[in-house]
Amino acid sequence: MSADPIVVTGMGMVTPIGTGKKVFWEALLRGENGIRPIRTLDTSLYRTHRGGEVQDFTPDPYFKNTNPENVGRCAHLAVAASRMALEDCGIDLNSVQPARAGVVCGTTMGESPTAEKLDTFIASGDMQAARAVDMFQFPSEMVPIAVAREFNWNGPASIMSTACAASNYAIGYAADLLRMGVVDMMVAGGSDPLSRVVFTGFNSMLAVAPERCQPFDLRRKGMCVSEGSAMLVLERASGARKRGAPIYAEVVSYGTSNDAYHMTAPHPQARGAVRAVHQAFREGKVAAESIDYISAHGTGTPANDKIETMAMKNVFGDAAYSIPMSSIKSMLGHTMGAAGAIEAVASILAIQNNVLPPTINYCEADPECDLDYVPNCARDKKVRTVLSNSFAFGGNCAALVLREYSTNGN
Amino acid sequence: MRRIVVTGIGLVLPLGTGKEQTWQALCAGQDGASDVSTFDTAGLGTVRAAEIKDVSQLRGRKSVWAVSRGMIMGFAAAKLALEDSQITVTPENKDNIGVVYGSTLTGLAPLAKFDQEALRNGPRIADPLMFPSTGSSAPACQVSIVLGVDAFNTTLSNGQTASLDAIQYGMQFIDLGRATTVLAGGVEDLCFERFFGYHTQQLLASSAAKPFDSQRTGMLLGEGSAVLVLEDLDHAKERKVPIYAEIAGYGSYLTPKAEEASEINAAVQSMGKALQQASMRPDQIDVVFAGGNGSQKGDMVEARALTELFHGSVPSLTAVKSMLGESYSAAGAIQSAMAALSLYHQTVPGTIHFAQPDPLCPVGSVVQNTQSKSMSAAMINTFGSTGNFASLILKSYEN
Repeated sequence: MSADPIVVTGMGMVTPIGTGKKVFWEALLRGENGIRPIRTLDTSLYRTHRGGEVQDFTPDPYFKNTNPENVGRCAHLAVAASRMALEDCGIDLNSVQPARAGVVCGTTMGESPTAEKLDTFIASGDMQAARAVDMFQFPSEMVPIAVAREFNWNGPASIMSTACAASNYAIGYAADLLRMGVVDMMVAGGSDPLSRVVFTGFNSMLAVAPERCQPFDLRRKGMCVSEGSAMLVLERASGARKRGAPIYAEVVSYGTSNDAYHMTAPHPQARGAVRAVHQAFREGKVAAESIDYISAHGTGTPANDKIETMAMKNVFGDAAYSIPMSSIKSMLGHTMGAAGAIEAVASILAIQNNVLPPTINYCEADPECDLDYVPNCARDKKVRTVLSNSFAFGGNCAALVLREYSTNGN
Repeated sequence: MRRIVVTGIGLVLPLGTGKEQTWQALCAGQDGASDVSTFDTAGLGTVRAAEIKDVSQLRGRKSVWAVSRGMIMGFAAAKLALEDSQITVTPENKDNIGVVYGSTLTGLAPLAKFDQEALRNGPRIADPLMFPSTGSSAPACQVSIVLGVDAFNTTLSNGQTASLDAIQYGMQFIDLGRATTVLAGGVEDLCFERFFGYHTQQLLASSAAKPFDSQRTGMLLGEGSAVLVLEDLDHAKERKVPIYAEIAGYGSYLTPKAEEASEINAAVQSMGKALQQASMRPDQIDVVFAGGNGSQKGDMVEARALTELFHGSVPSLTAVKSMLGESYSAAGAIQSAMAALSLYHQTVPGTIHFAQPDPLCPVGSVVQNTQSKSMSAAMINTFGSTGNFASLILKSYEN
């Protein structure tokens, strides 16, 4: 391990509340609600009808070297976010050593819509039409490979399917690879398109809020299925400074763990979540008192929000009451494997601007969720260090620590 | 770098369950191909694949949620690997045992079933207990949940290279002190939707899989799971358990170009990087556990890359996919498990159906009949058709 910090120098994202970090950040501060009637899926037979969809997105402007028709929507979103992030980091793409640049992406369902196309034909018995579906677009590895192909790279290209914590795993692993000196530049984040299977699945579990997402509110009714992608450019600080890159923040450390408890329910004592945070703190030598803001997993389901609140009290003790913790899923809905990356971007923008994005739709306090959730309005606050939580199905927990970059050491 | 060794092997394969049964069947040249029985093949004629016949027998403790074929296989292999490594999970060691699987398609069968049932019967009666298995991380999660091991839990869905990538990930996590012991492996299962994709692209063998043979017609799809217990050498020594092999090096390389010359170069780079990490020369490799599956192009790319790397004198080469079929993300872990057993037993299993060498695959060292050989290092290759290449080197453990 080197003492050369890993830093973020570029950020790109495609979300239901905006594409590109400027539009996205303004929408977050306004408290824009990205949950609308779903258009790309016929919801007439479902219990609920709303979700988060990226508006007016076409992949073509981002695919300058490869053909978007050869890959699915998960790859479309990931390539778009990657290109935005790379443009944002100001690097001359010709100066990148192809064998020293790589991609790590997180996803929950990957190219599920491709399989769903096949399912539609199979279910209706139209096997002739089924033959026309290109199932070789389905395997998830096509997502990082699409990014590597677009930028002509030869480095590691990985995709982690660690459910809704996937992009924290991806960002953490990209930082590992940089620390180990395997690569000089990584694009890391997550991507998930709106999936019919996910919409059906969460509806079948009665976990979808019919109207809006209300994390930590007493009357919260569940999560909202959404889609999007965010990718971050990660490099070693020495390299970034050498080329005069903008340095947005430092990726201090991450921790992962597993509840080893249940496929869908969180551990009643938040075992995995607490362990993941402790590991991140231990590896990054982060003092709990240094955390200024917590970017919550905050899905809006009764179980998650209660257990996450308990986990933070376990980690921080009474100090938990004085650390603001908001959930931008109140605006975006749950973007699945992209959520951790989108929340990392929001956390870094909070560090840069010293403003906390709010938890919108917050009306009534829940006695079991009694922390400071930054209700409804963005708030000015000096932010140096952020803890970003992702706690997923299968008990997969990942916590990421991001910090203001300082050349004087921390 | 810490020294990392393999101290346990768990196998669930079309040739059987457990390392003894599968290793013996492999050395006996038993063909894993059979007529498919797990899914309805209507309209596709007779469907051959290397299928595991009685998966439900492997089912462990009952879970509240639906447990898919991939989850059963992946869990059974992990359990066998732990037993083989003489590890009992206790409150003291469970936080130091991690899980990392390569799996890309295990979510597909449950996803398709769940989705198609909702389309046919309406989404309101979709079974909520089936939903959690639709992601490919479900097998690895099932391992942590049922066995209680929780140092970390990761699934890499990197396609062909996924389980070699998983082994590398496990090594890194041990090296970084995040675990002392890692269950690293891969799992992939058969289902109609997977088969249909290969079938419509005409990538499947007309009869048997004949890797590197001039009469090869394509691949045979396979399924299964292999899990290796990776362990810090000092930790393994403390426990005084048998060591199958030491992990010497890993390399990977991606080519964005789907051209033959670029792919051959990427394969050479991948193997070269593994050798570099192992601080070994090509002539120190005694056996190659090839990725060759009988596909026209894939076998040729691998053969020509090997010829280039080894300057024409390729060491003994064996293709276990001639018996086990192409199990995609599980393949690298299966080949690695077999390579570890091969070093341990000083025996190279043969490649079945190999009769006529292909001048376009000029390796000249395909092992036809199982043979004894004095060996100290094995190379494992997983070369994807989408430009992703990974290689691993195992060596005999020497104190």
